[in-house]
Amino acid sequence: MKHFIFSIEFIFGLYCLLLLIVYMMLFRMSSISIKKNLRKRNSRRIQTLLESEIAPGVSIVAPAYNESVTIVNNVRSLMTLFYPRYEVVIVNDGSKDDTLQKLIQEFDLVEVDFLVDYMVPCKEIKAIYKSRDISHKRLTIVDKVNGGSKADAVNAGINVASFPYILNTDVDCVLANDTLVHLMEAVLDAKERVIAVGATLRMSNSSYVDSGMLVEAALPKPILARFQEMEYIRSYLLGKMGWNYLNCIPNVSGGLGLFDKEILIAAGGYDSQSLGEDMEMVTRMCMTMCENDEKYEVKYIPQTLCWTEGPDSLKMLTRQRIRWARGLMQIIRSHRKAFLNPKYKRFGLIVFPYNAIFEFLAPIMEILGIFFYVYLILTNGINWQMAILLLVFVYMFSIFLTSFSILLDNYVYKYYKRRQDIVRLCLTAFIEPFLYHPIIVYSSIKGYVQELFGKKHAWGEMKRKGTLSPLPSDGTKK
Amino acid sequence: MIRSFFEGDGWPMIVWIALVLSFMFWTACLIGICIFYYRDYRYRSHYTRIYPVLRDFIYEHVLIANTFNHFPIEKLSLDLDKRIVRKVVRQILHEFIFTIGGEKGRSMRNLFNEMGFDKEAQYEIRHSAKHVLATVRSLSDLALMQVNIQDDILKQLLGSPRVEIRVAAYKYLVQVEGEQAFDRIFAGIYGISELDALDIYQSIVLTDYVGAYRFSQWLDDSKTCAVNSLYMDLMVYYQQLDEEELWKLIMARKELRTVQKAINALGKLLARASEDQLQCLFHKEQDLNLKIEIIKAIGRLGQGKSIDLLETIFKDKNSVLVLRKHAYRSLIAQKPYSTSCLRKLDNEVESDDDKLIRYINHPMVHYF
Repeated sequence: MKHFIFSIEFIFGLYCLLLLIVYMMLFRMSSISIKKNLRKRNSRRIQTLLESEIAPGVSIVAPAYNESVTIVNNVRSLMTLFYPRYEVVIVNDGSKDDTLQKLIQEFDLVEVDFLVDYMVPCKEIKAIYKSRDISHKRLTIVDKVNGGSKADAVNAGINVASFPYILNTDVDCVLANDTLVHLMEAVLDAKERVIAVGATLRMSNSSYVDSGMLVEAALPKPILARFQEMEYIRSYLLGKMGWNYLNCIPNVSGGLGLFDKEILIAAGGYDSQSLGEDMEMVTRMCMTMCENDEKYEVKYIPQTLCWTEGPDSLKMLTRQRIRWARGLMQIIRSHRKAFLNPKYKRFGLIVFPYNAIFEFLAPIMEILGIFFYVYLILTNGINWQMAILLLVFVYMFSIFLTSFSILLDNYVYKYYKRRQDIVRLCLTAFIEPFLYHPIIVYSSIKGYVQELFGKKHAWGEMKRKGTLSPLPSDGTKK
Repeated sequence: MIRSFFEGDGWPMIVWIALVLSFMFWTACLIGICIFYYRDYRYRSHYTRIYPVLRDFIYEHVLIANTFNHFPIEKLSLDLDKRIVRKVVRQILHEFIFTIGGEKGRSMRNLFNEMGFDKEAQYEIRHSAKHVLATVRSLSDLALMQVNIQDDILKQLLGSPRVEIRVAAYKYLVQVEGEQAFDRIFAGIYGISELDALDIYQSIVLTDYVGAYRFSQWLDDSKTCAVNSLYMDLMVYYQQLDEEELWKLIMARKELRTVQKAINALGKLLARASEDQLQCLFHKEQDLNLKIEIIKAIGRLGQGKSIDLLETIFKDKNSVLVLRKHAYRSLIAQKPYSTSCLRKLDNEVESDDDKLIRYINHPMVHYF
């Protein structure tokens, strides 16, 4: 029995040690990566790409489902991006409300004849609309039969898109004006072919937005949204920028991602059955490149280019995280052949094993660890002095990592103009492990169980609160 | 000894050290955040103080009094020895220099030099190995002020292992020496990305150079796609057709994207003698992107020699839709030679093809 307990202790200890090493590596690599990115960014005028008539074209694909409240402002926001060559493809995924009517009315749309090449699978496209107003010549509206998933709608957009690069975003996201410039700079500045680029996302819940453009970023007031803001900063600036250094980025967020259309189509487009369609897509794109023995890069840039409305109720948050957990489990299961497979190079040897061991298994290890802890307490087999010391260390280490991410965020750009926002964010790091982290672990475990028993996933609707509505004309803040 | 260490107080000691280190790092992070905010605050407060003073000075001396040089800088009473003050002044002057052109712009540049920024920039470029950003910024300043740099320093910068410095040096040469520097730039250009190529391209086309220089002489299949693309983009911009060099690149087939670009250039430069070769290449070619480029190029040439080929592609139901789309577009571009063919197609086509034709011809559809 003693040997058995020792073995379990050893497994947990080794797991924690490895995780600690990974975090320390990310700490170092993200610093280098961000520094390098900023050096490159500052050594070049942003106007270079902006003024160039030979810049590669980008198609922005944004699916919309029952987005009537915010659709007009959001489309306007997408139409005002700074870039010489781009089009905006809005996919109305069979909305039940008046999303399409609002668009038709606002942008003076008419139906045009079309013939679509279904290069990637999607439900039937019913109509394509273009604007009579020449100032909206960039806009294309695709009306399609509801496919039951975002993936299906994005695939429809890909089929209609004209340019070699696809920017996938959600229609409710507010993008920075220079989003396309920054993302395309990353594509054009790489040594190898860049198949996907992502950037930092954060919460728009309490930010001030006028005519679809961000006026001032502010820390979300609802505590759940604030936790997510902190989690996003940590995950993007520490995690993804760290992996960026090794060209080992596991995922490009569905909220904002630029993709090479050719590879996107070659990989078969988004999988409408997947619950983690963004990560699954990147996984398949990487595997396609490896199978064809082609070199590639997946890149991340540290600038925040996208603000999205995060779930601010417990119900919506858990539903979102359950979906993510199920999506991750599906990916691990369906692409298991890549696990430690040298054919898939760094994807098979680093990215996939990391996802499987430290992303997928982490909640399970945590729950098992708690049970084991309780067992040791009950059997009086615990060394209290050491246990408390370890707990304090883990707590301190997690606060340090969060604070470091906030520091990196400030190094990139000071998004919060008010000092109290940054103080509040730093203080949130102290309560996150007790209040927010258990919710995430619970949602993940619940997601795994649901996936294991094959429970049907209901997508549900996220109610838009219209926090992105414009300011009153006198300019006073809400 | 190691075993006894871990069996004794070893583990708690390691955890204690890790805990103390975490605490120290956390404190350092907080201090770092405070420093960033303080620096930002300091910059903004200096900016708010200096901007009105400097703006009034520029209005009074450059715009109203037409002073060309020997500005009474001492009247500004700015402590230019302070780094932050220099940074702010430099920023404000840049803003004005970019908005004021002509004679006044030259006066602005003199003001910039008289404040000692040219000397500072010259100093920075001598220490390029340490400060990449400072060097790049200084080179850009010197280019803006049209200040000459000593040749040995320039040689050193052009040979720098840092690509950012090399590109800044190329851009400096373009802006200061213009056409005379082309040989020097293109002979030594290497290791640049597509974005760097675009940067250099923009620098060249934004000068008043009109384009008698033969860029095609530098095309070489051993060079990277980015470098060859730069030459081809310049050839297209200055309308310099050199079919022989472009075909050499195409036939070498080192990089698919270079070949694509070369075919694109042939079309844009109206290489009329190349149409037959393009047709042959189309039949041999397997890659879809290349085929599309060939069809687009044929369309641009618009000589009416390839109407049969384009018609066949359009009629081929097994062909990819995008290829058929471009074939029809190219047929339209072949007017008036293709008028009868287009009329025939309009009358013959089935409902699906009719939809395709109407889509392509639709006045509101701008991108394909």
